[in-house]
Amino acid sequence: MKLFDNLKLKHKIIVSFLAVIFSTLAVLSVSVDIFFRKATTELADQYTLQGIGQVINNIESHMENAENLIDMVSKDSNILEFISWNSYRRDAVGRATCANLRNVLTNAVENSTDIIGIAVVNSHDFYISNEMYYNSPSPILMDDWYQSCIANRELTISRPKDGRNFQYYYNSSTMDNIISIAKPIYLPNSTVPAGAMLVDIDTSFMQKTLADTSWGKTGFAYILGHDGDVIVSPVNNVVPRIKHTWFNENNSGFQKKINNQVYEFVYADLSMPQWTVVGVFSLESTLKPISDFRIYMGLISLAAALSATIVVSIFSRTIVNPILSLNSLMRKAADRKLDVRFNARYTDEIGELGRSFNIMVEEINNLIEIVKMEQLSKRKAELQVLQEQIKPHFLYNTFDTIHWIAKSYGATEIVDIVRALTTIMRVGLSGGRDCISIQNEFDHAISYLTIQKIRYGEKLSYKISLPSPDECRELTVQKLILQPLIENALYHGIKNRKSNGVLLVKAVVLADKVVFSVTDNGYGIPDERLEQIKQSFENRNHKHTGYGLFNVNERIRISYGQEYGVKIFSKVGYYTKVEVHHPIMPLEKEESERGTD
Amino acid sequence: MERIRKTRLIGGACICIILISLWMVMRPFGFLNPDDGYRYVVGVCQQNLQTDIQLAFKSDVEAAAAQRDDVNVLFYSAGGDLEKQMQQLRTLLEQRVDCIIVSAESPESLEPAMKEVLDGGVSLIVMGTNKSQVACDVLIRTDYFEIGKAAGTYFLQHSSPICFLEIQGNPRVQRIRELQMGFRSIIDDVPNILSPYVIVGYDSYMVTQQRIVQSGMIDAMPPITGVFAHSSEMALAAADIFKTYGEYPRILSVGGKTDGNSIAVGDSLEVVISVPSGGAEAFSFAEELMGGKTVPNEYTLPITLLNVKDSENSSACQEVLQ
Repeated sequence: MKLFDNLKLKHKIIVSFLAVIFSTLAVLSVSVDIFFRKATTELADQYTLQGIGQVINNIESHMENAENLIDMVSKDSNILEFISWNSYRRDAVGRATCANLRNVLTNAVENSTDIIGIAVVNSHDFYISNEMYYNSPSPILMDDWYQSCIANRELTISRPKDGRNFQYYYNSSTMDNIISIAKPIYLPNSTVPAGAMLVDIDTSFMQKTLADTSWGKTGFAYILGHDGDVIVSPVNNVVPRIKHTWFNENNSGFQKKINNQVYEFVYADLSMPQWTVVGVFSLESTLKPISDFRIYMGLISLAAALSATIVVSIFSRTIVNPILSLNSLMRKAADRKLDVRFNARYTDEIGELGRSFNIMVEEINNLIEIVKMEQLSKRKAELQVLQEQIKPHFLYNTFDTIHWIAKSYGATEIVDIVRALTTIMRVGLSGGRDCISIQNEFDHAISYLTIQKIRYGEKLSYKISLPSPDECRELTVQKLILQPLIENALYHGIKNRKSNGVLLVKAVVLADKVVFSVTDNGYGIPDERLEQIKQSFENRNHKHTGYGLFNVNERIRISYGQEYGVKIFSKVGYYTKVEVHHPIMPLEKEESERGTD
Repeated sequence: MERIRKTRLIGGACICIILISLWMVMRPFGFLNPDDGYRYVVGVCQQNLQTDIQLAFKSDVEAAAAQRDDVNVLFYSAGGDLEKQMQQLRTLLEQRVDCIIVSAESPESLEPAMKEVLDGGVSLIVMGTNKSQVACDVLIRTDYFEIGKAAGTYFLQHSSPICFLEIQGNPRVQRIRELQMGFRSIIDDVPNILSPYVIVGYDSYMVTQQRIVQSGMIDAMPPITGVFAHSSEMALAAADIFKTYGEYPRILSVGGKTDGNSIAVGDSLEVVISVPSGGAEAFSFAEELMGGKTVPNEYTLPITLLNVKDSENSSACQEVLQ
């Protein structure tokens, strides 16, 4: 099965189709063969049995005639006279009786076509015959045939035994061609046999009967004695090879192989004598039409197999070739040759598969184009970023120059502003990073406040509360989260105050987060407005809030989740406090090193 | 390697299909099964089946064949008819027997048919005499000349008969002529022995008795003191008829059995020159021929002299003559 599974699809199809065709033909052939063989054999059996019936009727008819003859001769007065003798009469009457009796027997033999000799034996061991003589010193009464006949008191039919004492003077017939009939003879009004008559019958009539009966082309029949002796048979090379024990082993017909041929044996028994007429015919000859049919079937099967092979090859090619073509295209596609296309000429499954392949390759091509475009865009963007970074650096360097010139002129305020601007720009750039240390964030916020302080003067005062220096150095936050909050507090809380405004900028490191807060002592936010601002945060739009707060809130929430972000607390007439909850983000080593640059 | 495996697989499948097809075609005719019938058939063609020696021949063949389940023996007897025996030989040839054993008084007369048998490729075993010259595979000889000599020698050694009666079978056959020649070669040159009387009994009990009476042998002068009968039937007939008339000549017979017990003996029958019927030997040669073994072209049967009166202890009194 594994070998089959590993076969190529084309071979699988061919093998499967051929297996189906051959098995169908085989089943068909065997079924037809069995059916016709059985029918023909049965027909031949019936035909042979009819012939056997004719032979049996013929033999029994001859036997009946012989028995009638014996009965008729037995009633002759000379025979009755002879069998009543106690001693052999050599007188004239005795000689006359013997002469008459011999004439009777001779006439009986001459009038019969089958009988070749008759002997009459009386119970005192005298005999008379037309031609036979007794050639033994032993009494006739001791002969087997006589004893059997007298004991059974009925007609007995047998083959003469070898060296039978009754022999022929002139007839050269051998005992091979003779069957003997013996019947007891009774005196009138007596039930005790007074003698017996022995009649030899030539078996030629049986030969003729067997020869005259039709047994088919190669069939024949023979007669088997009850002791297994062949009584009459045609001359052929089959009968000598037949074992008579087969007839004891089988109740009806049987088949046996002789001389490399199978023969069918059909037989029936005669009632008298107890012989068996056996019909034999060669199955090979009888079943020749079927064997011819088998040859035709074989040729037809061969032709069918050849045609089927061709058809299946063509058929398999229509299936396999597109698949092989598709397979080849897929291999090319796997080798990144995506310009290949399947030429789907038909709308069958393979065509569908091919079209799907084409679509798939097209999609892959498109995706690759998209990815290429994106990569190109990304590279362009990166290039642009790099180019953009040139400007701040240029400005930074310029500010640095201004800082040093202002310092040389002693313009301390300009020095402070330029320094603050420089710090703002440095932190804003941050080497392109999104996260910076708390210290840097506060440096940025303080620089912004320094500039605003110069602008607002005494109207603004602020207070900075930092965590420990280690925490400021080791923890990072999203950059530029304090500056929008301070800017918001300045513009909405401090700017419109008549008296001095105070800002408190603070960072507290808690167990799981860092909380930045910017508190102003401005007018505060009415509750209704505060609620709108909170709703804006929840709905993620900046319709009712400034873009700065919204931006800070969105960045933190997107980056770290909903539990972080901006929270606003306010009391009208007293204060406004904006908190930024930020997770604790330890500075990575590389970041840390960079952060200290 | 994979291709080779597939090729072998497909080749194997094709061979299987061919073998199955062949089996299906052959099966109904039993080509693949051995024969059920007798493997060998031996034909035995005897000139006649009347005398003791002929019957002994047949029964010895039957007894030997009974040891083999695969051999069938077809017996044919021609009733003394030479033409018929030739026809029977041809019939056996037609029956395609494997081996034929021929027993005839004059096998030379059957030579045309025997040649056909040999030309037909059938093994041929012939029972013959010392003088027989026939083409066959095995010629089993019985040296009747020596038997005749033994008979004459016995008479000379055990009695002093001066008047013998020789009872012959058919005088035209070689066997009888050789017996007579052997017998005469011993007694003819002995002085004071009359030329023996000869009658022909045709191996028949009845005929022999009739001929003895009709030819006046009972009352012969000088009286018959020794009888050499060529067969046991004639010896028995002579013993019975002489006894009937109160005569008791010394009677010597040629028998077809190795054991004196098997011969019905009369009081006067004294000695049997026993010759095996040759049936067992012939069948043994037939077996060897059918088995493809090499056999000698000729074989001579041994002759034993048996004292019938001591037949109960025959092994003690037997004397192997040859």
